[in-house]
Amino acid sequence: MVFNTGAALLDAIVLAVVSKEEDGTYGYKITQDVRKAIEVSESTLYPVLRRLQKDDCLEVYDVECGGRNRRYYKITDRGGAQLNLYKTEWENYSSKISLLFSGEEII
Amino acid sequence: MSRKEFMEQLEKLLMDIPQEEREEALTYYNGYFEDAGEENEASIIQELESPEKVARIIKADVGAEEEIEYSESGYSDTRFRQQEEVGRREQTQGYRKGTPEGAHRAGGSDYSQSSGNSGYDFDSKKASPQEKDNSRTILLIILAVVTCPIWLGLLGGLFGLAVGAVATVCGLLLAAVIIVFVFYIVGVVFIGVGISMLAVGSIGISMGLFGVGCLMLAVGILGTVACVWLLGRFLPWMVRGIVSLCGRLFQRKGRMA
Repeated sequence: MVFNTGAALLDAIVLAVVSKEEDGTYGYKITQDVRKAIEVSESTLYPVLRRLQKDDCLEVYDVECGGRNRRYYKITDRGGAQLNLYKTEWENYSSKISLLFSGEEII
Repeated sequence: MSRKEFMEQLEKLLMDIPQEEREEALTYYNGYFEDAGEENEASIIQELESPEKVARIIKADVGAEEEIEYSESGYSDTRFRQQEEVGRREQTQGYRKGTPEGAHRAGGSDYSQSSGNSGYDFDSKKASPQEKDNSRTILLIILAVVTCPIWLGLLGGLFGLAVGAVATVCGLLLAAVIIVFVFYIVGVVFIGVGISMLAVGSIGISMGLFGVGCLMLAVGILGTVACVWLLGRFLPWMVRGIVSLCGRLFQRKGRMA
């Protein structure tokens, strides 16, 4: 990708990916889902997930799966609010740029 | 490198972060490998590149959180900032693959998050001259203690030299006084002998002796005058000199301390 994905946008994408799964999702799947949208390396997402967890935007819980515990991530109310904020900001940001690119006047 | 080796190395590299953080990270990557399945193991290890890189990225984020704690000591702070920058650069390169030149330009926007660091920069600059000053003082003290045999010896030597000089001058003065005194005595003796010779024999000899005695007395008187002048002039000058010298020495010592 030509464009730089900043920390805020990456947070927003991860929150969006996790919020799609009502029962929560796990690290490997999150990485695969994020990669459907943007290019990220395998090592990029752990710090992001850890930070969002510490900021109470995500909650974690372990689920027994095939004889071991799998760590699941689930979005919190606070994470949902944060995601809504990001969505609004993105709408604002991307629509203006799209307008500019399409050659129309920005109101 | 196998998954086991990778995880072992990663654990070793994370020994310097809090235990909780280390365990979290290791659990995550272990789970990641498990969920990816054995067939994807090699490709994941290849994409993660190296345990060093993964550890750097993990530490970069832990470091970012503890900036405030470390800000008080300039040394640890700069160390952390370096690590963090390395980590961030790697990280941004990670999700900006294929745009190596863009990575440099984009740096600004990514680092803006950590722009609070500039404050620490200022602090560390302010603190460093003080630290340097302190260490220089300590170094000087150590140097003074280590070289004390040399400078104590030198000081002792100088002191001895000064005492010797003063003693020499005093001795010379004493000698002069004694010589003058001797002149007086010998003059008086000669005069006495000359007078007594008058009664015994030749006037010539007695007159000669009398004359010599008078000359000696005269020399004695001249010597006395010279001695008095010397003592009157030279002694006070010398005493004043010594006093001022000592004063200067003590003053310098006082300033040094």
